[in-house]
Amino acid sequence: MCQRELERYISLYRLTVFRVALNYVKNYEDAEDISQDAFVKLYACDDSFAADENVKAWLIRVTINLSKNLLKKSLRRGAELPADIPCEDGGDIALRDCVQRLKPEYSGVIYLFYYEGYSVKEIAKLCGLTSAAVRTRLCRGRDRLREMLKEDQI
Amino acid sequence: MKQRYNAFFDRVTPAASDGEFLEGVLRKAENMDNNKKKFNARPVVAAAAAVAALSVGVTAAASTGLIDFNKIFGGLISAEDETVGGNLVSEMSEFRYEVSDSDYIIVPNGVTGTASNICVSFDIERADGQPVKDFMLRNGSGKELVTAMDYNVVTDTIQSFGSGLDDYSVVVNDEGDLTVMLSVTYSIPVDECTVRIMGSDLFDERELILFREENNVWEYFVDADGQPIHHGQDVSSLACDTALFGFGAKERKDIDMSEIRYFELDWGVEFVYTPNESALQTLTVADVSATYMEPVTVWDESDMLDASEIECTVKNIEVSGTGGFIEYDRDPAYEALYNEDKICSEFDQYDILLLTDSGKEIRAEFELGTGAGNSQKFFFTYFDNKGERIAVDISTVTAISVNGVVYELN
Repeated sequence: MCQRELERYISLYRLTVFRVALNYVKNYEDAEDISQDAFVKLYACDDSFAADENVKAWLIRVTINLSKNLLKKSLRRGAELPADIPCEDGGDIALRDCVQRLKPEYSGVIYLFYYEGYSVKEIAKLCGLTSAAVRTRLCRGRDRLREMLKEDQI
Repeated sequence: MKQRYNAFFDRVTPAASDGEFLEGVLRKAENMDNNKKKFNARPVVAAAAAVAALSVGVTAAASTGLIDFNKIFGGLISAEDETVGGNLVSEMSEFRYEVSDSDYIIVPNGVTGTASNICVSFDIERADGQPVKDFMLRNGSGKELVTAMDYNVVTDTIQSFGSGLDDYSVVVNDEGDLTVMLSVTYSIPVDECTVRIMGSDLFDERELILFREENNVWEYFVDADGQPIHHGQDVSSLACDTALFGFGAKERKDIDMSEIRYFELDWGVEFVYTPNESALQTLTVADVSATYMEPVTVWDESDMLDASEIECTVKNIEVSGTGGFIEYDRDPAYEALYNEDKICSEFDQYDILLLTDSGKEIRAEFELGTGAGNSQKFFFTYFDNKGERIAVDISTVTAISVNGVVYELN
């Protein structure tokens, strides 16, 4: 892939990649690092993509894998990554705290479903899960989010 | 909630500009390229001696399927400066990995090797001093379950040596420091139990090398040219409770060891237990055709969750010593009633109990659902009163209770 193409894809999908990573690793610096690694892979990738959407899906898959690898590595070393999701002034701090506490397996699919607008089937493909598993995670994750938000209000 | 959630993520943005980000990507790509060139231009080999730094952790891997119970250990070993430089490597006596006082200790008892191969040997010990093998198997004749790791384990099958795929990479940075990242999958028998040793996917630009055991001698097969490199390690002399893994350089060439100033080995160990024959036996319910109202959760466009029910017909129930499944068809009108994307099955909230000939009840919990359209399958596993996952002696199971409805098992 040439540098010009890379620049275009960065402008198109960098935010998505960053937020997907953030939902898994819950940490700003690691999410930024993973984003860079995902685009390094794209830059080195020889595959040809039929459409931009395919590049986006490819980047999301790579990002999820990189994030899981990092989580696995940190678990093996007995050191959890510190939660550090950025929240601008005036941002929804309560929701930020809940997203930080939500398990990665839930927050990842919720983000793809809510924000990116992927269907359950598409998320299943992206995450390597069955549709039933995605639905269960979505349901439980949303329930958990709502519970946490209620708890925070109390 | 969706609106609130999306509004929050609208404002979650990275600090660096796209330009700065691009620079970072290009710099990383260039570094990776340089490392590759350096690696290709200079045959390298790892060496290690005393342990300079150690960081370890442990996680219980999710069990997969119905018969595997996994546990993963991991750690980081590194050595620096004067401790690196010999052709053969000394013992790592100070290294000791302890999970907990009731758990396991992994003790690397040394690194040996030549200029083109290196091998790390580990002893596995119980922290309480009891033999590891006693905690890794089930007494087949007595059918008495013995706790192993966090799980109860059923195994009395003697496994032969297996083969595995080893991924590794060697990276030399600009300062001449050398890092080896390792991924190994290998099986050895520890008495009557199979222990598979594996590393993690630690580095994406890894080279591939294949391990093969033949006549009790490990061979290293280089993927690129297929030429075997005989390490010469005689595994038949290994004592029970000893695990071993190793890795080799891509090319069999010597290297000036004085060039190596830093060594790092990131490793992991995973135990996999194989169930015995009786654990693989299954019981089924004859002619099951029960109809249930399956509880589901549906969410609408405004993102509200609501409880509902769908009629489903159970087609098949199967039970083994480590788990089972319930297979059923849903009301064909299901997809017309609800958008599949918006519905979540709560079948896994059902009360499932195994009933034994002694009147004991064993709790089962669903952990995985699969299926497409109207046909669904839910897998379950068993737990004791403390919430620990267990295996059961299938020969004592007589029936299964699903939400109070009892089915005889054959």
